[in-house]
Amino acid sequence: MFLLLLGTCCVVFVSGCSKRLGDFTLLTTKNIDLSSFSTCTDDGKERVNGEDASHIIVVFPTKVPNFKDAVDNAIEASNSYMLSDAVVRYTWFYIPLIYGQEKFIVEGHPVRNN
Amino acid sequence: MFVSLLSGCSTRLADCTLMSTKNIYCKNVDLTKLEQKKCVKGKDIKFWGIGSNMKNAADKALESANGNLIIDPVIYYESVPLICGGYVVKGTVVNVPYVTNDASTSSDARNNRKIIGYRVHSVPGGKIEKTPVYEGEN
Repeated sequence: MFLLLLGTCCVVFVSGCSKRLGDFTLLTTKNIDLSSFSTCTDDGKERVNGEDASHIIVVFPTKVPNFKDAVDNAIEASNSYMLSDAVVRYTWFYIPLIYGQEKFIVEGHPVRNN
Repeated sequence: MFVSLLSGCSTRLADCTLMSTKNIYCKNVDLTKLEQKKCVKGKDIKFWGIGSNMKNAADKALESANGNLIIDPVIYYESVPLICGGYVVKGTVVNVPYVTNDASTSSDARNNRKIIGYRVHSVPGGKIEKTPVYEGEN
């Protein structure tokens, strides 16, 4: 019975969890010229990813993952100033007393030209 | 201990410069000239935080101010331990008009006022009409 319980716990923790926190038509953390605002993308095909992850070593987390850093990473990776059709996800998994990870993932179309 | 549990906690998750969950298409629109509703708040707080969503909080903020874009939004995660939790979005809401052409170059010949965008609305018969939004109008 104990082994069954332990096995179930392990499966639940190792399989982890992914949650879609939201999807946004526009999302940015950078300064924008409000007097001349455009939403036009270069083309609708390119999609960029940004993530901010925290590692859990044994039971000690290295940091708290941050949504803003994930958005920053996506924007900076694509050299853009805004994301359109952005999707924000939060995922985690944990192998008890060994290793775990939690992270915010942001993906979207980069908006570059003004 | 009971008081500290009930007092709850609020974590500032992020602050962005722009956020929207609604369809927006515009080009060279001056947002500073549109009506701005400041300190608008949208909450999505549920029992144990199950099913709470950042998007719902942003939607509620936008819908409460009848707008489609949040400027300088701040996202909080608020919770009362063992009772409820969820997201709160605060910011300045504007209603950006739908723009099909470059607004910076459009102008009205009759009164020389600059067109900053178009409002789209449906009329009887299933047709869609566009009315221009002039500089200084909301």
